[in-house]
Amino acid sequence: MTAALRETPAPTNPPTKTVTLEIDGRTVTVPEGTSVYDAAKSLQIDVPVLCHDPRLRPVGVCRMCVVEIEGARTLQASCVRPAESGMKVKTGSAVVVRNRKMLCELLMADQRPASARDATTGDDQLFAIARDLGADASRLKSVTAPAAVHPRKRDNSSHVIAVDHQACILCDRCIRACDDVQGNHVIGRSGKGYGTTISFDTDVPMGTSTCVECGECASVCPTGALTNKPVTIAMTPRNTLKQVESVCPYCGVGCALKLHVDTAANRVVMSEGRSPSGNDARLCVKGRYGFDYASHPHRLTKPLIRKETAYPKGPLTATGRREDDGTRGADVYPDYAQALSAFREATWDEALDLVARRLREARDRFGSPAMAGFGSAKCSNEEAYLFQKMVRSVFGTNNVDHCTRLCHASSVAALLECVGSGAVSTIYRDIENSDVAILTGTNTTSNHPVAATFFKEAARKGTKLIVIDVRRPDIADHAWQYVQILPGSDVSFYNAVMHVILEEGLEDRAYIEKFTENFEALREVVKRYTPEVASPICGIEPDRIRLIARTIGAAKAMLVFWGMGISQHVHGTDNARCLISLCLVTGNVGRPGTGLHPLRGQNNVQGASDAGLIPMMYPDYQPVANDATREKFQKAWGTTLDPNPGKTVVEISHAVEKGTVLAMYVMGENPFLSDPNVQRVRDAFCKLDFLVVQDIFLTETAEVADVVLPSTSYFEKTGTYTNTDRRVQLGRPALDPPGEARLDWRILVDVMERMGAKQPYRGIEDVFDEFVRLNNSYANLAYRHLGGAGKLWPCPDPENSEGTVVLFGDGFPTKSGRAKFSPAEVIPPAELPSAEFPFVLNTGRTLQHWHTGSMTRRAKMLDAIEPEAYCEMNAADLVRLGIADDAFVRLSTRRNSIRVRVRATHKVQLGGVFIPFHFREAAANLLTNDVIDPKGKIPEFKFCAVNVEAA
Amino acid sequence: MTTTKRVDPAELAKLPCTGPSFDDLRGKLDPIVARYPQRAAALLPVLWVVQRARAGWLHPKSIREVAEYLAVPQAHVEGVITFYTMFKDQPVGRDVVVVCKTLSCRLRGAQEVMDALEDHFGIDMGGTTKDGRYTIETGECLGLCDMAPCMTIDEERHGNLTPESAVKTLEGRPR
Ligand code: SF4
Ligand code: SF4
Ligand code: FES
Ligand code: FES
Repeated sequence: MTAALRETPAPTNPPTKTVTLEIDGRTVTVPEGTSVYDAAKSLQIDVPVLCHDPRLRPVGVCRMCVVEIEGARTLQASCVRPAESGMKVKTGSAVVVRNRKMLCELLMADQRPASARDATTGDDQLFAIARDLGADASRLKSVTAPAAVHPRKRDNSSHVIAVDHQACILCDRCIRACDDVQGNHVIGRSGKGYGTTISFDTDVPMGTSTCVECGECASVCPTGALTNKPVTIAMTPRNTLKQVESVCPYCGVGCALKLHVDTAANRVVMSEGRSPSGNDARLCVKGRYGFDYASHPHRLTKPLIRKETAYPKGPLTATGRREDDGTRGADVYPDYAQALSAFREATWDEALDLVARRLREARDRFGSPAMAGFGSAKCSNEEAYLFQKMVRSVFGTNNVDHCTRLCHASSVAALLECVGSGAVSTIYRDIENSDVAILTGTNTTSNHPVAATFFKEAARKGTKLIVIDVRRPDIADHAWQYVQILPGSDVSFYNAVMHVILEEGLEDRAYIEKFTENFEALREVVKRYTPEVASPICGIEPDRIRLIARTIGAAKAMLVFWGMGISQHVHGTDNARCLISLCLVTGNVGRPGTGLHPLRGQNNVQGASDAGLIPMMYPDYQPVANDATREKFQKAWGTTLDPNPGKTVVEISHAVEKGTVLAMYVMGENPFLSDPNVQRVRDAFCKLDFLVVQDIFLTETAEVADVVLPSTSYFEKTGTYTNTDRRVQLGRPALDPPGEARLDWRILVDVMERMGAKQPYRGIEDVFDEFVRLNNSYANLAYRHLGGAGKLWPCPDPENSEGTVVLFGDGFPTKSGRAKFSPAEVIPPAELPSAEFPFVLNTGRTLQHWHTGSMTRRAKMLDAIEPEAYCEMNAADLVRLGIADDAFVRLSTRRNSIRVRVRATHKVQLGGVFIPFHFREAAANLLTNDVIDPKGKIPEFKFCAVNVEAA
Repeated sequence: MTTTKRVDPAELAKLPCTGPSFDDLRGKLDPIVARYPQRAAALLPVLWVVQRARAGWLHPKSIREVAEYLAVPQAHVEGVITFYTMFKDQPVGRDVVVVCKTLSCRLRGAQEVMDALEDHFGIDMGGTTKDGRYTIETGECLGLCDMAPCMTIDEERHGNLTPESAVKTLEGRPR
């Protein structure tokens, strides 16, 4: 496939002009435009700064960095003063030092005696400068105002950040961090003169403002004004902690971060973004504050075996029985005492022997097709690889799947069909090269928050964002056009857009000619979708469709991002086909700033799929049905393999219900909350002859397990993870596993070996190397390349290159080398609203929580910020139903009903209900419809008919 | 002497936001916005119209609505409001009185005028009279130095004041 790929051309920079100047008697040559401060830095001359931070736009407001420049009338702020040829600079002359010291004393006169920053992370920059200069503010105390004009208070209202206005020096760093880095625009200034303070929104307490707790402001604040609150244990100065470079365990953005670890306490104390990396040191609330679940007392520390008395199996705790009361109560977590009483602790030997024996018996008695495994997109590439190897080579079946089936299976199906590769064609930050970007079916600020910061930045710099979504996502605030289509009407909208493009001759003929096939079929289909035909279906006026089509047609570079709003439909594959066609027809693939980017939800969705956790494919999407491929894997694994593609997630659950799948291995998945029509799944799983669950907590699914194997959290192991960009990064262990919890890969190897299949690994790195040998896309990669910013696969030359940014520059990895148009017709959603169920239910996620909440609800800060289940409805619908904001409603579908609080909003359109699915006490998936897309086999999480009553 | 306390900004949202709904104001605001190349540029005149229509001050709800209407961050509007003294982020009396405290007026007895008003109404400068009729505050040069000392009552100008005439002017206006 590499033939069809190309490296991004190195940017052809014009030769840079340079300037030569003298700093403290030394000569230095720097590119034109370099600040005096940076020029000094290149000579290792340290100039003290307060308002300046290399990640922020320089503003020059604090004057701490002043230097003497020969001939200049006054001292100059070096952070904003460009270096000029012939300049003579003195950074430490007597007058400079006198000025700095005076300034420092003036600032210190307003400070409290001790800095909150020094007391936590130990890095107050103002106090450090004062110490360096020997600044003594006491002589000024008598002349400064006794009480500030504005009450300079402490504000402890935010869950994660402590604000002390008294310590604020108005350096503007937090404002730039919030505006320019994160694009949240929460912080401003209130007042003028001496009474000025930073303020949140309309000067309300931080905790009630629109702040999204990303922590960027606290990470750049140089004083004790904005400091992180301790997450688990008290903060100690960073130089007392161990630093571990790792990757965020949560979403597909895969932010590179640095963990600060108290090794004695075996706790992570703080997490910080790191750079150089894809995320440029940015993090969201989950990455920055959500690490403590690993130290939660609920962690499993010993293997558990179900007691004889706990049969027949049924849910042990409130789950499955008392969702009825959607309030936050004891049932936010499974009742551990109750659940654990059904199990007895066992030794590893006993548990592993039992697992191996029962699985072997099941395989021999019921046959391999009666076995199945659910892996997880939260596990590493190595773990995913080993898991599918175990199911395939030891269980003897291809019944292995994971949660990607529930998120992007349809996107991948469409991509494989049309362009021959399921991965993104370019990285999320390539948006900086786009003049138009479509964001559709993605609530990016919640689900890919750090990617969203780059989208907002691009929008500020002129990229036109076209946001298309049934529920108004917050990123729409930054959009050129926000298009609120009707639920399930995607195909009609995109077909109409393509209709206009073709009608008005805006297509890229040369591209279509050279790189695609089946264009006539597309033309035939979209011919019928005039804007006038599509408008009543999608709810967008014909002229707006035309405007958008013309903008897309005129774009020099257009990039399409999409999420679950596209994929989780019975027509999910069709939706994705339309997006692919749209890019192809306008020639927007294979150049910087163009392409297709399905935003991956979980940290290793891409990697787990690459590693073959897919029932019809071996690693690297090599079909199991292909004889030559199978031969290759048989040889590599030394077994015979099943030539029949296996079952997908929902198909496996249905087979369990029918009794055709009888034994299952579940690693890190929680289908009891994550799967559609979950009651059916729960009932079915109780019938399993044998279920082993490998996890870090006793999940809802583990409650019906025969054996539970305690494994390690992200923070305790080494492994590689492939983010949404195809960026392979190395996660490193920061903590020791609790109790007897064991590394996941070791558990898998133990089980395989006890089932009679010897494994050749000396360590986890050997697993990676074997995986790489069988996966061309990862060719040449090894652990030593994957620290730092990681590598973008394919990466033929990892020693010298960061890997491939843009794919498909000169064709596609299909048989013909061309991409295929696959036109789609409108199919209605499977379950339309009726008189009895008049609303449309849409499920999704929140910023703070993640998947089934087993991790985030055990992360103190995340749980505190969003503690309880809720749903959202249009305020006008609530008024019509006579239901108050924040009251309880009962949501009922043809399958089940739950009670949950409702929030009034204008983001949800009339007739819609939105509900996040993380909350076990009001599990959204009791309601959802388990009908699946015929090609992608993805369930229709985004659309079912629901009734709403006051409750 | 009573001091009118500033309402804690966190509590302001609990006060009623009186006056026409934002939708009713759009008719006046849209033509203003249309005069500028960018929506954000209309911020000052839009705030002025909203403040005048809604009891003379900018309730947090007004700020939010204006921010949304012009697609600027709330924090930015807050900064603008607290910079310009003619915008009020706190409730005010029915009429706002500004007594000049700059040089010419001071030389001609502004301090005595202020003292008299404070004594008479029992408030500090910046406070609101108990009947809610006047908020009386000080301001920088009103451009009326030729009739110093002076004050404005909303848009009316009053010059050549004495302590007595200042009190009389305020008391003498129709209720
Ligand atoms: S935490 Fe993030 S969103 Fe909140 S004020 Fe700071 S930078 Fe802005
Ligand atoms: S954006 Fe995703 S990967 Fe980055 S810190 Fe947040 S959850 Fe973690
Ligand atoms: S660091 Fe240069 S002015 Fe603040
Ligand atoms: S100084 Fe009072 S009006 Fe000018």
